[in-house]
Amino acid sequence: MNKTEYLSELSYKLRRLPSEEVREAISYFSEYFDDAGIENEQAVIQSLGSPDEVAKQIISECAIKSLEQKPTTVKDSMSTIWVVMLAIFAAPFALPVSILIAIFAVCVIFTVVILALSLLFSTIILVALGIISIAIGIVLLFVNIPFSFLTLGLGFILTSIGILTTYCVFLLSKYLILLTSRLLKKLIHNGNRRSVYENEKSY
Amino acid sequence: MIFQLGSPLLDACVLAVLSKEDTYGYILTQKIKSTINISESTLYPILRRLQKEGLLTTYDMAFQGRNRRYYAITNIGKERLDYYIKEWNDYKFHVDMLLEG
Repeated sequence: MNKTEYLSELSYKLRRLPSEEVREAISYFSEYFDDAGIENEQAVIQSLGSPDEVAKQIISECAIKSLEQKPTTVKDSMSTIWVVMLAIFAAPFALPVSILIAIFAVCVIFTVVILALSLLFSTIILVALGIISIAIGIVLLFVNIPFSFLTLGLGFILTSIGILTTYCVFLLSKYLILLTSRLLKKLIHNGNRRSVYENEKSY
Repeated sequence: MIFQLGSPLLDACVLAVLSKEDTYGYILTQKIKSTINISESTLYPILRRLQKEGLLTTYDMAFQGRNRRYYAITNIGKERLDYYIKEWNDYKFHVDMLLEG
């Protein structure tokens, strides 16, 4: 393998990263070869490691970096997810622990959000049922008074329980999400430190 | 060197070398390699990360008809380096106490 072949293989391995990342990496290593001198070309290739290994390092670092940045738009978060997925498929073994933790984190966040939403939804349904009962109760007032009172009472109870639980669930979800994010941030932080250690082992 | 080198310490080494003078990838790698056993490809992801964190900047200079990218430490980088040096001294002190105390 010579310099040109090495760089083209590296660029192929990196092809799914943003094009700017690929350009930067290729120009860095191209310069590196030039500075080492043509007579050291083979030694440099030996010392760099295979294009595959180098690509994995770069992709992992990219993934960690984009995990740390707080995505502000949907586009940002999509690109983060994309790079992370890429890192998993590119380097399932060289994968830093932090990425696995991060994926776990994403799953947990997703679960919490779904849980909160469904709880909220069910309490809202409770309120809706209560209101419908009240409406039916009012209509029944002209037909069957005892039954109407029963329905009205039931409606009031349902509505009040619904409103109360909606409020409680709302507070609970907020707290849950806050707690989860704090916990996960800690997890990712620790995971990063560990992964750094594990990366060093392979050097 | 038989001891493990964590990433913050490697960051610190890169910043320390750059705090003396601006230099380019090859020289930087050789300087650090003379002390720590790293592969020649180790520094690129680190440099890229430090650059994105704003601890380094780059500028290009022509050299023999091609481009050479120099890395320079920024003020934030210097602050970070001071912090690392302080932490390192702390750590060194305590490990010495354990080993030799």
